[in-house]
Amino acid sequence: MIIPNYRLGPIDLVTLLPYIAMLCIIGFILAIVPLLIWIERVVISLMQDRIGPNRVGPRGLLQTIADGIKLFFKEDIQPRAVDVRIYYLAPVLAMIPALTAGATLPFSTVRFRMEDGSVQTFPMVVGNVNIGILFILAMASLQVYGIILAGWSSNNKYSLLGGLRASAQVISYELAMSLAILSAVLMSGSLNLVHVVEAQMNGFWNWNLFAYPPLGFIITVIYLISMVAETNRAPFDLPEAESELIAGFHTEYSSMKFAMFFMGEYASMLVVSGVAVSLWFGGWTSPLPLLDFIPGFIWFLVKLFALFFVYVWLRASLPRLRYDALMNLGWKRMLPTALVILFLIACWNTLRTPQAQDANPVSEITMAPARAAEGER
Amino acid sequence: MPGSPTIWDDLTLILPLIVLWITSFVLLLGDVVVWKKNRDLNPILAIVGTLIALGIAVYQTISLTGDKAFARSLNMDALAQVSMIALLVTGLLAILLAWTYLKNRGLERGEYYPLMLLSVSGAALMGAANDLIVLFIGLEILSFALYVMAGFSRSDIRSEEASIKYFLLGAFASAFLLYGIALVYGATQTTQLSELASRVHSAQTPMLVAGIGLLIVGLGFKAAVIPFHQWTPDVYEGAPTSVTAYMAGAAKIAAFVAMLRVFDSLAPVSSVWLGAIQALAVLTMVFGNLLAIAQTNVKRMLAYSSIAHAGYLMVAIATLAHRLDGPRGAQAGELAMTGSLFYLFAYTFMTLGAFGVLIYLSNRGKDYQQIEDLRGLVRHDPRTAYAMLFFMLSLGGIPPTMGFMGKWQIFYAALSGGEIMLAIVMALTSVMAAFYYLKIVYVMCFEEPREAAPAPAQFSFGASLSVLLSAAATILFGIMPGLLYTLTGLVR
Amino acid sequence: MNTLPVQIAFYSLAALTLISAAYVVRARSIIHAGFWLLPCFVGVAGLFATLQAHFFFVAQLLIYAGAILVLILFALMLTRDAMSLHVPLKSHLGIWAGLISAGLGISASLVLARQSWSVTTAHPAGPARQAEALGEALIGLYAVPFEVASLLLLSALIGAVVLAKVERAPAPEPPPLADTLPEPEETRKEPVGVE
Repeated sequence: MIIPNYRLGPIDLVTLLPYIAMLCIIGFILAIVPLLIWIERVVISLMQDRIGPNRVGPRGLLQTIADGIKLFFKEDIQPRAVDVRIYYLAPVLAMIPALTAGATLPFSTVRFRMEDGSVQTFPMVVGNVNIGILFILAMASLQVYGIILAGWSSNNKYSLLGGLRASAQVISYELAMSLAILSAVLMSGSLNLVHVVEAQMNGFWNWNLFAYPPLGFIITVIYLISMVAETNRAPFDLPEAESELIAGFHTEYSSMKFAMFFMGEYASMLVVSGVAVSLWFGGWTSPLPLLDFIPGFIWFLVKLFALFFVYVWLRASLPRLRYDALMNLGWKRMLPTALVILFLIACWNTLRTPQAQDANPVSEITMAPARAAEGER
Repeated sequence: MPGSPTIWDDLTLILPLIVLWITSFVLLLGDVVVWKKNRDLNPILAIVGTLIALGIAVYQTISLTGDKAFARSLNMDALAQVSMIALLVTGLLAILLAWTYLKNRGLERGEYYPLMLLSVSGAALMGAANDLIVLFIGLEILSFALYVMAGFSRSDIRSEEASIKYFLLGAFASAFLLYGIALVYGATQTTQLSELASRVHSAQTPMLVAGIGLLIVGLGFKAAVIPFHQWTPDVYEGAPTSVTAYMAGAAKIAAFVAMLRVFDSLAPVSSVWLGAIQALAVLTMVFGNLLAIAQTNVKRMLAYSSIAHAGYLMVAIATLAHRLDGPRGAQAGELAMTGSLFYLFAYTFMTLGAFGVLIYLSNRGKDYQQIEDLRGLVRHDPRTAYAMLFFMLSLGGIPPTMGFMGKWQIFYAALSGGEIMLAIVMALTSVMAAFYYLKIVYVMCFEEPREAAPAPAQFSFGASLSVLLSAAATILFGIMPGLLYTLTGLVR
Repeated sequence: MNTLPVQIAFYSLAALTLISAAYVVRARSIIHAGFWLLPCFVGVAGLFATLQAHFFFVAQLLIYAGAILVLILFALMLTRDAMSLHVPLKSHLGIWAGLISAGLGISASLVLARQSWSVTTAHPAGPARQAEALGEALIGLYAVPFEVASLLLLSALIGAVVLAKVERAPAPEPPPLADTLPEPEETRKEPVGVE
């Protein structure tokens, strides 16, 4: 599908592309969350041989909307002993980094017919920056503030314990996660997610998942595990463990503030899954060259939902880890493994460097927006 | 060597440091994994590692292979190598002392020796730094290990106090140093000392002056120069004696070699800092010695004595300022450089020796710290008393000892460099110093022991050997200083 | 690049950094002080961004805001008295500290303002080139400080273990990690009540 590059005065579609992408990402994340919750509930009930939501709307599809409306009209309770400013800041901080992190996540390509008749391909991404992946990592690490602040400001022992657990857990797993991401960077030779995805084009056998066998596979598994831990989802949901800590850091939150934590959690799940898709599963590219006619964002969505299904699957099947088991897994298993793999990949790259000197051509796709940006200045 | 230097040439130049690092890693892992119970293996291996490093360092120094290394961030010249030898000797003596002391105090934990070797390497890096950033990181490695070692005796509240006090004030001083480095960098756009020397003259702005001032504060803290000395007595007193001995030697050597380097390259703007250094030297010499007189605790007294010695070394630094004032000044600067290295060697031997005597005595189940404890020592343990006598005479700068030779060299350098006033103060305060050193000699030799003869000290290999080595060096280099001149004379 | 938007961005980020830094010092509760560090770090990161130092912008966020501050807060929350907001925080030396700090601050800014900075007109390199240049500097010009910094961290690590490890003497086996969190007061009082 080729779109003509409509132009109105100095503004054309190509310059508007980042803004369109921004609207897409924020709109998508905010709009898809009810659907995700519905999917989660349905899938879990299927796995547990229950019926699940089926009253509100067809097949219970509107159930989460109804829940949202209910939450919206609930009384906004503010416990007496809370630290007011921080208490209100926390839910906001839980959500904003997740939304911001989407800024450097490319989710599709668009082909434009330029004025001179040539056809150029542009990635759909808000900021096509060369350090995109580090930016996402930084935002993911800021995510934890929502939980820490909430846990502390609630002035509640369970909340505080939840906040403590969250900060320890996130820091521990961030290391393994960063090392896994660095491995992908080494595989593709760029910190720019668009480059990383382009390096995996033309068929699923080029995905980083299958690169450097079996290193790519192991490191993907490490990333997926730390991704689940980083978003505090089952089986790593110790910060909010219902059976031990009531609800952990959000025990004292009600109404919309609670809903914001919920949104933040799902948004960050989407973002880290999106990163996983881009790093290991070929991003927006199609798994087989003959399926190239299907637009990129469809592939991206399919892969994203597949990863979300994995999330739900894990939640339905695995019991929660004990705290020391969690730390052992993070520090004694995954971190050393990831380090070794990073080292091996670096060795592999070094050994074949003479041939690989020109193996990283600057593609036309990524150069084009840069040129457009130059023209803008 | 033909061709451009490779990474291997650079690594060869820092081989002693690499040996130290490997030894400390082996000790760290070995203590946990391999020899869990055998506590004597730790000091033995540490000594072996230090001896190997020392051998390599001496060989490299004598074969004059010094060069700038690692993109000029290290300057492994004779100054760096000789100071590394001094530090390794300090480390060696201190390991021997710690072997005895830790066993007596029940502090044998595997982390002690690795920390100490790491701090030796940090101090050596300070001495070899051609880049202010390396200097800073070396200083931090040295200091971090010392902060922890000062608090090594966890059950002793004074040790904890020493650790926290040293840490807080040290962090404060590090901030000064770092800010000073930043300002100097801002004024000259370089952190490399060799570059700095050629650029400072054209960059004399208030910022450079402020930067130099902050550098003086930061380094002065480490060197325990009055008025940045407040931590010294408390830390020296509170820290375990083996740590105090090591800290006294290593921190002083590292701080002064770093100062020599920094102010050597700042010599073109000596008018900026000479006054400050002179004032600090006078203050330190006068008050260090005055305050030492009033002490009743040997460790505290030695702390103030170390401050006083820092004052004498500051005289050498002030003399260095005249390096560019014609041939006479150049000669004086050279003398100051070699003299202060000689002095640092002397200081190490006599201070570690004096602390070693205390540690040797602590073998009797009691921590010997008060001057009173030494009463009549000559009656029941004459050999130890004579060793202590030599160290006190040497610290006081009385002729046939090494301390005198060191002091004489700095004195002579100051005179030939035109720092007459400082030389006079130095001579006067040395007389003052003799008072409190001789007081200990008096207490040991001429007073009756308060109690009946206590149980004789058990023979302990580490402390005995360390004291013996220190005493031998103090006398040998006192009578034949030429032996050491061949080494320190390489520093030009 | 001295356009108006950049100026506005600079001054607002500087204000963010300085004001939150002032709050860090002023805050009564040490936890609040820790929280105020967050906008301070973010402001510094923003200053990097206005200088087009993209890599440092991200590194600042990732390392300082994302990791170091979380650790600080973690340690503070584990501290027993961190939650008591009502401990008076008074010092009669406060006014002197303020005067000295103000004097030093003013003289520092005078010194900095009087410096004739060498201004380069070169355009900053692109982000990819920046990361590359940093990498080259870290294994070239600054190889020694970079590598040796790991020794610094190692000695700090050993030191932390030495100072924090429970001494083996009379105490039973140190409790597993999960139990080292501060116990709630009630459970600790119970045995007393039984007696």
